[in-house]
Amino acid sequence: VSEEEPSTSGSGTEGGGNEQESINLRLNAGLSGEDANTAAFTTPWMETVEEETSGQVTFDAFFNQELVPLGEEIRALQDGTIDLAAPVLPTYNPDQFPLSDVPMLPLKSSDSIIAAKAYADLIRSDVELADGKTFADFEFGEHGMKALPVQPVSQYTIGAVGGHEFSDAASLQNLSLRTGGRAHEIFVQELGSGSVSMPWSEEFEALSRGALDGNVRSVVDYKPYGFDELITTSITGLAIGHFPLVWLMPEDKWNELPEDVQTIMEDEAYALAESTVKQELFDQALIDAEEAGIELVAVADLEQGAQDLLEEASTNTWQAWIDAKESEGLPGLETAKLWRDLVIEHGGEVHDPILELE
Amino acid sequence: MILSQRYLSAYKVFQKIKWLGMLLSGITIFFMMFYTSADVLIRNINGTSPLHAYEISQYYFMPLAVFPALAYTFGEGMMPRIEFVITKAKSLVIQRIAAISLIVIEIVLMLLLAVFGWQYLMHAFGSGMAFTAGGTNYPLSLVILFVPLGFFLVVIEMIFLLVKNIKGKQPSFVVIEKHEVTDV
Amino acid sequence: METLFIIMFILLLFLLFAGMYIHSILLTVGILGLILLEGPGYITGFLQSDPFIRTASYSLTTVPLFVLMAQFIVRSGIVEDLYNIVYNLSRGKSSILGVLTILAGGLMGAVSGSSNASAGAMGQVAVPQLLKRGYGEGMAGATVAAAGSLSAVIPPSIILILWGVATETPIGQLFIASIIPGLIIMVIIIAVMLVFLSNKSKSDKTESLEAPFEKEHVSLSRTIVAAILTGLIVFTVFYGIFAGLFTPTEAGAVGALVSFLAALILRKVSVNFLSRSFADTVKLTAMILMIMISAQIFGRFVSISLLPRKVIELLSTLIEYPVLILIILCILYFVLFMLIEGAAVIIMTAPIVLPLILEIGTDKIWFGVVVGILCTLGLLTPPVGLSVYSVAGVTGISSEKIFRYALPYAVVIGVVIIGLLIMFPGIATFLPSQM
Ligand code: NA
Ligand code: NA
Repeated sequence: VSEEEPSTSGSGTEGGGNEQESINLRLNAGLSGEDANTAAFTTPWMETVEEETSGQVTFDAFFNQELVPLGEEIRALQDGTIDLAAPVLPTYNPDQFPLSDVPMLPLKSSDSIIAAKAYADLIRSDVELADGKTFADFEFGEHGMKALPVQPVSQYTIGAVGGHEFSDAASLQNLSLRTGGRAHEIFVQELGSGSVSMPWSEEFEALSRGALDGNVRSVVDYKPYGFDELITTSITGLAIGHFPLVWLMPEDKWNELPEDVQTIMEDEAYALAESTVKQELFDQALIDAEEAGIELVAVADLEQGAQDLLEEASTNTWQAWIDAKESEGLPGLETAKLWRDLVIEHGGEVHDPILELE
Repeated sequence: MILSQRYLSAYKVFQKIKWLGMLLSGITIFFMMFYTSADVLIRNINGTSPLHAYEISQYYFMPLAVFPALAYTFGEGMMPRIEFVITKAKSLVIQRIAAISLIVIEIVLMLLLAVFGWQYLMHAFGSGMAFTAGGTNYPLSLVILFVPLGFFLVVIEMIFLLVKNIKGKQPSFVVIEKHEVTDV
Repeated sequence: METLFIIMFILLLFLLFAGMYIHSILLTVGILGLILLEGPGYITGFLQSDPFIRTASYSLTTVPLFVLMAQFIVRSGIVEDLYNIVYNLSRGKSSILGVLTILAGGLMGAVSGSSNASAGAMGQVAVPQLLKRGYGEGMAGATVAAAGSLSAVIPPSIILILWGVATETPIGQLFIASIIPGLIIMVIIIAVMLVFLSNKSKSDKTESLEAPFEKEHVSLSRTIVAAILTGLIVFTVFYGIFAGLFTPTEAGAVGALVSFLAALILRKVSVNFLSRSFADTVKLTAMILMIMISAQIFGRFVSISLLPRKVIELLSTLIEYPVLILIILCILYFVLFMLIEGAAVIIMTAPIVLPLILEIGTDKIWFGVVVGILCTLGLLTPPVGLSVYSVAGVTGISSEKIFRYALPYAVVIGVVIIGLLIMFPGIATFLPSQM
């Protein structure tokens, strides 16, 4: 049954039976094996690497925090509990990854592919943000980690329960919305609504009883978390940023891998930034949402006042985010500008005032 | 009982410490009750949760509700086990050997958790481990301190128990039997 | 690998019979297993962070808060009054008290998503009253543990939410699907209890269960106060949840607060009242968490060994016999839930079981309901039966005595309800299909 030589007295996974030949890696994915991110990245990435190395590299994959709880990945990588994490959810640990929520800043328009390409470029960017350090140096090199890009989650939007109608500016206000990160918290407050944080397991209950009016999430999350049964309306064409995900492996372990294996792993991760799987899942999610009876309102069909409010809140969110990072001594402005430029380069749009950031 | 006066007075001091731990955990839970209710109230009035009851309960209240009270919980004989050999074995010697070995293993296990808990504390302290709520970072090392401390107090409880089992004739899993002393 | 598992299983049984603490058995086997599989360095990460991470859980706040609520209710004397009233009205029929207790468990299930919390709270409230009316310790404890377990089947249920997300099964439909099975389980619990009762009165003729009926004196004013305050607490919690004022998790806090206010109104609050409430709440919470921490480390060993994966892979060779696969899966789950805490089992098995059950054409919702029920039964079975330990913890009854009755409860419930679900899948699938 088992592929390696099982020695009863128990040796490690690596360097056990046939040296140099086979490399068995313990991979941790914080998300469920059924998750869209797993389908779009983790599974195809593992399969391609196993295939292209002709089975030299194999993975034992652990999903859904079976082995490592969210937020504990860095420690687990450092002490060898796991060999690599794909993906890590860096915004869950703003203390460790303070700049990683930059993709969550609200955009004027964007989609999965734009975000994936921009994020891949952000990871491999050689732009020095401060002290001669790149984005990857700041966020991942700091922890001794090699990073590869994983496509971020499709664009976030606002959904509401209980037959709420999005129309004018007031319809975006005085709502109690569940958010999952600082940037979205600021955004919701800038709109004039209330931001509530709770785990997803609570979120379902709270939405179903009306203890929450809605949430800030991507439409792709509706079905997996059961929100498609609860949310009655959702805005389309809105891109309240993308939830970032990243592939991490300790640098020393990475350096031990044969060069051809490194190349295969790296190429496949970057190749997947072009993958249309997430985009297709998003399109399908919109169809599913409509079939589930969710009323989809295009942002362009909202009253002008509502559109202005969204733009103003987006702009203020960027500024508040930059100010907060700068006050912590981090290169907030440079990071925001770099992300903005990459998004635009790949076809996304930001609101006008953000173009003027200097 | 053949337990010396010094043993008993030392244990009395230790009971006071455990009782304080229990109190800290109890007050935490009581406070969490008010805190969460206040959060519910505010959310129903203006739709926000500025108290961050979710994060604060998770990272501060829950660990404080558990770790300070561990030794008290052990001392009260709360931890479940299936009594079989120890009460049913015919030979008292076997019963005592079993009890003493189990307590020794328990000391080793709790010592392990205390030591690893200490390492985790050092890591938390060194890396400035924190959780975020409403844009503010809240440090974790203060609550993590109670992890090694809690397990360490259990080790002390188990050492008292070990001494009692070595000196006494009957195997026992609580230092003070329920009928001997009621309250601290 | 297989040898290692057999050795570990024998060690587990040996330590169990030697009388080791449950949490220590899980820790010992988990740590030794990990060391034998991966070397001593491998336990470091888990032993460092698991105790803290496992404890730092928002959904677990229901355990201390619901138990604190029960403390306040019991120490105010309201429950005593209520049970006396029912006792008087039923002219001393103890079976009616038992039935009402189980129905109360069902009601509790509609507001609480966690069986441990419910079992602890119910144990506190109901067991002393049942004991007073002639129930044996084990029977009273097990009945209440079983009634408390309804919280994991009757929606809302934390475990069903977890299964829903792990397998992408619609959670609302899972909830609706488990309503009828939940009610059937309630009936089964009542039936089993009545059988236990009649066996008991047959076996000890000397000490008749139906003690001569003597009306308990409860003054009219006390009756009114007890009824109003109980009504107030129940109303607040139900109304609050169903009107969307708070979530079931927050209901623990609000319920405790309202109960505390009731105790204040009754002038029962004193330093002693508080310190005793704290002590009992804290003891139960710490005990449950200590077992959960240890169960987590044991679960790590099972995860790393990849054993469940291999067993399930083997099962896929039986693909032509879907019913056989389902029965084996049920037994496998029953055993896993016996030994490992529910959430961990679901997380480690869902990704591998799901493709298999889809391949044999099983309804995802139906299967989720089955897994939820099996998980609930795991709370009643030794060695890791958290509902039983909760009741034992708050009542002081030994867990062995409770297991003696809880195990038959679990087996009867399991065989009857799973049997019914296999024969008549509509029990679970009918309601969701009407949506
Ligand atoms: Na429930
Ligand atoms: Na069990």
